[in-house]
Amino acid sequence: MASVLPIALAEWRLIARHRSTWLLFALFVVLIATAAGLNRARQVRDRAQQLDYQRLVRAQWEGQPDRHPHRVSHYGTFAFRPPGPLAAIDPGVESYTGRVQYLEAHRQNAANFAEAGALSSAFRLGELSLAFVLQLVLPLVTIVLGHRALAGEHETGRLRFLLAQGVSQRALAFGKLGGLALALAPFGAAGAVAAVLVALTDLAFAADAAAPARLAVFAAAVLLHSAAWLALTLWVSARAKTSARACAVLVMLWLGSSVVVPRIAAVAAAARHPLPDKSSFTAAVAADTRKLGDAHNPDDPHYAQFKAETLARYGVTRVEDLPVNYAGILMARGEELSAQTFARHFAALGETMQAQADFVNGWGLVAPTLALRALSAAAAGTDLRADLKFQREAEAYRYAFVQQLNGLHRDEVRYDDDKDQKLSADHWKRFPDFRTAPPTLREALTGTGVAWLVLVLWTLVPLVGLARTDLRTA
Amino acid sequence: MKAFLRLLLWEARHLQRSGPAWLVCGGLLAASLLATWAGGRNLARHRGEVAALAAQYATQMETITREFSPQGEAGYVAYYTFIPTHWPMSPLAALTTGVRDVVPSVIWVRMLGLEGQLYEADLGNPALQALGGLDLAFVFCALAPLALLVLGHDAFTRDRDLGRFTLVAAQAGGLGRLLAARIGARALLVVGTVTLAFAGACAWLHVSPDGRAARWLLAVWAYLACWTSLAACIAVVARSVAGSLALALTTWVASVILVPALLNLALTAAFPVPEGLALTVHQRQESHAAWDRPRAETMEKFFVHHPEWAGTPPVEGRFAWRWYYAMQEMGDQSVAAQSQAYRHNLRSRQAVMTRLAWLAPVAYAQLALSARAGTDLDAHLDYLDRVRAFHGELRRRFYPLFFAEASITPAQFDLFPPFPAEPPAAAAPSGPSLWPLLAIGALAFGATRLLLRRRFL
Repeated sequence: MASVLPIALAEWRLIARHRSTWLLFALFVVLIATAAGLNRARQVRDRAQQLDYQRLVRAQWEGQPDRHPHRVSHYGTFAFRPPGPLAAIDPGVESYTGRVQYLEAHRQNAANFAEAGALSSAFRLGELSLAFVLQLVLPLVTIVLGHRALAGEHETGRLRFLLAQGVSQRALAFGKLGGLALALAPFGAAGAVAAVLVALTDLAFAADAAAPARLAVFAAAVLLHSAAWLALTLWVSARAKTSARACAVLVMLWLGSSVVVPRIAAVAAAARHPLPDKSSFTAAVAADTRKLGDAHNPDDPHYAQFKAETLARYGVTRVEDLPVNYAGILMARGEELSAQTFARHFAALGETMQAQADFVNGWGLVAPTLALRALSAAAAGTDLRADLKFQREAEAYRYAFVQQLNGLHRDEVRYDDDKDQKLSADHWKRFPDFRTAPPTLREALTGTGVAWLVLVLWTLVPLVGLARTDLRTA
Repeated sequence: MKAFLRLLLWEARHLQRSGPAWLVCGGLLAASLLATWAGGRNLARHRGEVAALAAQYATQMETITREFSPQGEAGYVAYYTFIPTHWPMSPLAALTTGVRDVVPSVIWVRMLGLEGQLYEADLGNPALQALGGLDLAFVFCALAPLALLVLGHDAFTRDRDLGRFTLVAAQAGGLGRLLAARIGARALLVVGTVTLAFAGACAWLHVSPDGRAARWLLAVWAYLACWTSLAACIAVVARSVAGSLALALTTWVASVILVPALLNLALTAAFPVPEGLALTVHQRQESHAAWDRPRAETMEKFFVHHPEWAGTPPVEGRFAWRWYYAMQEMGDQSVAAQSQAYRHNLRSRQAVMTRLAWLAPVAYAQLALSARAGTDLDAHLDYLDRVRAFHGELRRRFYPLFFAEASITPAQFDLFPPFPAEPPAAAAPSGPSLWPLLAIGALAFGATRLLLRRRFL
């Protein structure tokens, strides 16, 4: 086993001596710099734009004149989703989700205004980001530099000489593995430097206390995935008769793992857990809301009973005699019931989406890149779970803000001549701003055990395979 | 010519016996089959959604009838009435997703301000959208060139590795002829497979065999012709099988994955498009501010755009429907310039993309195919324009009722017109021309000829 180190160093020198390796490294650095730089520039611009709108909307909110509270609840407000803590490194699903939700009385809107950038008809593979480069390009670099490692020795007949000199097969195999790992280290280091640079200069990163831990988890997942491709490359190279065949097999595995299987998985997930179309979803919500009755309609049977109960509670016989404004109570009741309906429907929708995402992640067993994508976006706080959390929090805020207005309607507006009254503009300033936070790292990582296991398996199985391959007969 | 045909036939027979060729074409067919199945599902889902619209609309109108029977104020009825509009999906569109999976195909509009109603996202799962869809255009644009390269890269190098290259070249009667026969046979095989897959998909999804489908297939052929030249170039450049394989794979990865991704990122960074959000925020502000202004002020503004109503009596009191809808329209009007700019920016970004896409033939081919199938960004914006026109028509029909402070009965609900979904036939866009693809092909062809002469003579 003492010969592992010299073999590793020899392999490393062999790879480093090739001019094409340096060319590859230069290209890799340029790609990383472009991806990280452009993405960061876009993130900074989007973030600034979002903050501008957030300030504008708040200023518009506080700048409202004296208004009737129900008018204000129709005026509504917006909930903005801040980018995830590591969005500049891995944008995850953020380009495909709404960044803003319009919040108003009586209805829960789906988040809208997905980024217009998603609207180009060009080939979509994932956004070019640092994560993209580390997920897809680094394995390719591994294949290009490593497919010859053992197949080449076999092909040129040098293998027999090496083994005749008393080098053990395992020492040779793992020495080559070490050499390739050494050669890949600068590529990984370039990625790490870029990631740290982007993170340190990013506001979203600074805003999250757990961000360094997130970065560590991200790095761990990338390392494990890279190790898997390293082991796989050596194993295939050990078993292939020629380096051309090793290259072909490895590239096909890469293609399957990063391009073909994810798409098939997406199609299968949509078939396995179908989402309702938007019209049917809206119609179903409307049908359930209709069953509740209409708070705007004074003759509605449900609300007639509610009225009787309310009058009895206050011990009066006419709404005019209530100490508070009945219209406000009615609105609050209507909002309560409809919000329950929305919550039920949107929760079912979110569950279906999560089931689809989990189903896709299950395919990680045949496509390790899918497992890495899931882990990376989870650590970055840019996965589906983060989006669903934002939507739940936005809805909770909507409900609280509409009910606060209904409370004002109940307590501050007189019953008679209701619609002609206005409340002082001071009231609006007391409304809190919307706050949201991505899932904590612990929340983000629950249920990702399978993805980690997949990456470990994709590393261990090729390693064991490599150790057990008889290089002479391969 | 006869000798060449014999050579071609010999190559074809050789391919017929080769395992990898069967494997590659089988894989291509399997992927096409899966993509067609997925497209068929999308089509069925879309048709199901559209077919259900009438019943959903009827249910809505029943509720409104219950509430406004025997009659109701026209303004009130219009407030509660949403009308479905949809962007029809042709079977060809099912084979070319374009932007259709990220924008809504159905938008319900009502007579309130339009700008707030146009930019809602569909109910898609972002986690699936981010993975990219699997459609036939993807299989043909991304995987078919790979099949071509895998089969064709060793046209020269295999014989060189085996040391019999000179012998084979001499027997073939010229290097050019040998290369043409070998690459040609493989290209014919791949194009044949692709055409077969397309024909199968057409039969399965009932694509009407008209000019559109033909022009779609023509674009695929032009694209594959371009890659055939590139494959020939690669076969000539490399000196060993390992070298030609590495070169072929690098070319594919760079031009199909890296360059399009870089192009997309660069364009997004260079041409920021203000989001639909800006429109909604401003429109909301404007129309709600009108509640706090004198009613006459809003009406005066409205009369500037609609002089035909200028002589009507002033709005008395807190509320009148004609004022309410005038205010809604003025809310739209206040962001008209921004809305114009938004659409203009999107269209010009698309135009720049088309102009630069020759840098990555795959991006150009995707643009060409989605334009021919009517699923590109332009087609989406055209749909939004049709919704805009329809919304204007709604307003034109109802303003007389609002100004007359009229009530309508359920029998009059057919005043709400159905949405004319089909675009005018003349509007079918031709899409980006195929010349850039052919030009790249010609360039690679020229380079191949030059290399053949330099290297081997």
